[in-house]
Amino acid sequence: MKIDVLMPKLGESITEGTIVKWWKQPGEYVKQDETLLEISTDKVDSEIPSPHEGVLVELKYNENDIVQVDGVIAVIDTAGNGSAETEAPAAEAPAAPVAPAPEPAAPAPAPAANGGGSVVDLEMPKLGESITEGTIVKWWKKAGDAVKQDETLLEISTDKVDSEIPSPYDGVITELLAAENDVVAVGSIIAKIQTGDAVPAAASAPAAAPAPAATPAPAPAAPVSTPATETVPRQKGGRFYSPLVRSIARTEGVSMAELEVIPGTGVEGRVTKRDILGYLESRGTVTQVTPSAPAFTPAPTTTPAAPVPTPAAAAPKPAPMSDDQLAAKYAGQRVEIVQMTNIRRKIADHMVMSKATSPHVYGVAEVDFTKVVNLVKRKRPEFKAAEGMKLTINPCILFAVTKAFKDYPEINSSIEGHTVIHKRFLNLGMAVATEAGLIVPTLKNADEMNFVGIARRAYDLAIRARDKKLVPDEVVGATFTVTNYGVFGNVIGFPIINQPNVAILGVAAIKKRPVVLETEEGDTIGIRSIGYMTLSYDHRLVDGELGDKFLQRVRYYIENFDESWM
Amino acid sequence: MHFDVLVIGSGPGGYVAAIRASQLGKKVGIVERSELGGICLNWGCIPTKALLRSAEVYEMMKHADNYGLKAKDVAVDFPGVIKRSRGVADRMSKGVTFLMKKNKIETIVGHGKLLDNKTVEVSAEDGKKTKVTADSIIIATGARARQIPGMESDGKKVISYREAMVLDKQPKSLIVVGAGAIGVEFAYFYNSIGTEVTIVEMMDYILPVEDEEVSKQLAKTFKKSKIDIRTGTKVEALKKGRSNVTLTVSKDGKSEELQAEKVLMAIGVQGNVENLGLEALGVEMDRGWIKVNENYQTNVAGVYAIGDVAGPPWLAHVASKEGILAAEHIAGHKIVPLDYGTIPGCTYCVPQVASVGLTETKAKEAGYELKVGRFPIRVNGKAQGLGETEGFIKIIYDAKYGELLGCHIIGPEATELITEVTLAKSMEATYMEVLHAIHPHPTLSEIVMEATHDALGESIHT
Repeated sequence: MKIDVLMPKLGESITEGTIVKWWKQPGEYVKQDETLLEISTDKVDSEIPSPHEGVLVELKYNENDIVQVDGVIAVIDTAGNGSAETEAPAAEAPAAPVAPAPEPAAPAPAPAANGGGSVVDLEMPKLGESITEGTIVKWWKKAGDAVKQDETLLEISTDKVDSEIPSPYDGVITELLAAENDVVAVGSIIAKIQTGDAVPAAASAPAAAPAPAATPAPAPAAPVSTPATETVPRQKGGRFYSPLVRSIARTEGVSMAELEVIPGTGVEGRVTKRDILGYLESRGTVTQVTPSAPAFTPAPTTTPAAPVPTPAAAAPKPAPMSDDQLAAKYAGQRVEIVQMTNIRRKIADHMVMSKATSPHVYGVAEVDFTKVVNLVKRKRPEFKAAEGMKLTINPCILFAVTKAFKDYPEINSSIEGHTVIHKRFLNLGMAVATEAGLIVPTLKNADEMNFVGIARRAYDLAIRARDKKLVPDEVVGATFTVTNYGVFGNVIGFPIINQPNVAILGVAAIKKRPVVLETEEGDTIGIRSIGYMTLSYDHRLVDGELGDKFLQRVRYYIENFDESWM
Repeated sequence: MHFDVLVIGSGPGGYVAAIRASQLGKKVGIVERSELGGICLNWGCIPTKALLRSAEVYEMMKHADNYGLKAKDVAVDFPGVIKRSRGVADRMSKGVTFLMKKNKIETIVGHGKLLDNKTVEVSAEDGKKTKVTADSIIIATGARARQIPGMESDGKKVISYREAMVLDKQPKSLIVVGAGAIGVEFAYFYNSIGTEVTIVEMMDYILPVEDEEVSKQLAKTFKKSKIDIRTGTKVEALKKGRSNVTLTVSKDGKSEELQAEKVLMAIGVQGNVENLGLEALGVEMDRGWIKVNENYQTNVAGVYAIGDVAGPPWLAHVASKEGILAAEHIAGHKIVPLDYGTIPGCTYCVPQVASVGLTETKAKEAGYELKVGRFPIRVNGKAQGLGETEGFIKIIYDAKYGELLGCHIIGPEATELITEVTLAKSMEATYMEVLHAIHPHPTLSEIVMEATHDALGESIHT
């Protein structure tokens, strides 16, 4: 490619210069930064390096010519990929003062070749979009162990979920570089595996390096024109927080989730010191304001709630006591002192944050499930045969919710400061109790699914949640959440909103009750399957009218569940 | 003639605003009645730095033996010093001419006066008047030396900074009234080339806006070099004799007469707001300065004001930044308001003084709990090599969040060193980041890191 060489800017006030000497003549090969010419101005003489590497094709000015800044003074052919002009550089290249090291020869941090296989670095896997680190809970293998591809190698816990990580390679572990309980950043090397001859299937490590074979480089010919431009990808989706903002957040116990919703007034919408201090001030008042809704303190045991979408960096304000101090405090008493698990801790922080953030209002609907119960009972064999899974009431409720959202999409929103973000997609979170604690797998784009789709996805998520097989991305991003504490038999509950949602639906136990039925022949007592559903909603955005109408619409769709929807 | 944007005044605020507006696709004109580049390039920052450099080189030559060198017959060629300074100013001004041309900005020579919020009448020196219209007008007319009534500068015996940098003869003695940056720089300059200098300052310290410790250190150095410093001293009267000026000053009620060949009045600046048509247009003022909001808009639609004329701080670098922001606002950009708490201030005497953010006193008054770190320049290896070991750095952090609140440096290249701290502060860095950044050795910049260690009580080298 031919590139014009411009008269360089020589200083603020300098508009022109005199070409004193050309160091290269047309046809000569010039390396980047090698002196190309000498220029004199009224202030100073300068040697001007070549801005490109290639063959000097043409000089536009002679020595002693006066040239305006930015004028074209020469043309350089940057040789391209050894096209027609290659002979020129090939002939001249050896004369170049510095032997041009053919760049492709060195495949940067290549794994040390080693017999048939090689030692490959195993990186901390990317666990999800917003997750930057994880805790190594357990190594299933130790150094020296053989491991098969896809065999579980270790167990990692993040704020969202615990995952078993399979080995991406067949081979032998040569080294473990992180210990159990270490918190490790995504992308750090956590182990080395001596592979057989098979090279990884996984994309994680740059491993075998792009075969340097490409240019065997017999002559230093065809100098690879431009230096490899490496672009460092910006951290995706991450907002920049200044060190001071992070320090304030840490000191004041502001969680990452809270940080993410503070509107920024700085450059590119960054949260500045002023923004977070302003937030702290307003948060202080928010927590003091009594919501106009019924003040109700849910009994913690019966109030299942929402989970844990974002890492909460919250530090409890009073310095927590150490295990030793606690042991001393409870000495002689029959207690067991146990550290919270990672997930427990995150749930704890998230719940506190949610209560501090959203003034909760609760509405309870009495729902007649009789029709759905009967329908499910009747369709169960057929459904099992067709879809291979057991039909339950759960997907019916979820489906009714998606329908209600089509009527009241406003509740599918989140709040940032005094701004409302309306979601045009519905990610339906579904609270699942696991051994480790509550998690919320999410049916992404539930609004686009039919009944079978919802049933299948919900079934699959629930099973995998209990088996610890969820991927972190599957437990984030809910825009509305349903929690079913009815499975334990309780008839009413008041769930806590799963931030940053503005509402959560609680489903309680369905019990047969005698109820008054109004018929054309007059009132009569009937036995019906009745359950109470609670909608907890954020009064900042959702007023009673909207919240109650929405809940009643869910009730309506359940009570009038149409067989054709299935 | 019609422009999208018309800038009145071509100082570092005006010409930068013009360039930025042009970059953003606006058709721009700039009105200037004198030299392009304004006070900064022609009569301020730049020519004085040239003068001060001459003084520094002279002092070094006088003390060549400190470096194992011999220099004989070292002497000051005063006209030569002035000539060099003018040459430097000239080149910079020509640079602005080039920049205007390059950015296709039309220069209109003359005095601009607003007839309404879209029309400016430009009067050339020959009396010719041209009407120019524009959608937006940026007033960037700057400021000039403030005068004490009855002691106005006559350009001969009582002078301002403007005359002080082009005297044809070096005065034997000089009284500098006002010990802000301008006064202190001229005091240093004239004293080092052999003029007898007295500083008269009303406040208790010289460089009164700087941290007390810094002011004290500078006063100590100045006294050592025989500058007579009178702080807490008021000027009562001025009497011009045939070859001398007599200044009556008072301190604590006791008055005294000081005599010198010339008196330099350096007691601050006042805005160039006259004859701009501001009153007729109803442009709101505040104590002699044009009142603007955080987007640099005046109360009159389409009329902006930036730089010195829009009030303190009167600094070229602030004017330039304001010019850029005003131009961006005109172009419809959403601008992030300037943080006036993170503006570095520099004084170019020897030793140099530079600072950013709060002084220790101000930080305490603001209720912060402080971690203050200090480091003497003399311990720094590079400074030893340079043979310039006077001074110190003081860096102030908030104990609670680690915020960098302020930094005060007196010593060699202090004015360059302050930039790191300014960047850190505007990035909202804490001491963690300052410590985490590797400071190359040996450099003067190591003092920033050392002082930060000290703030945490973990000083490495002291």
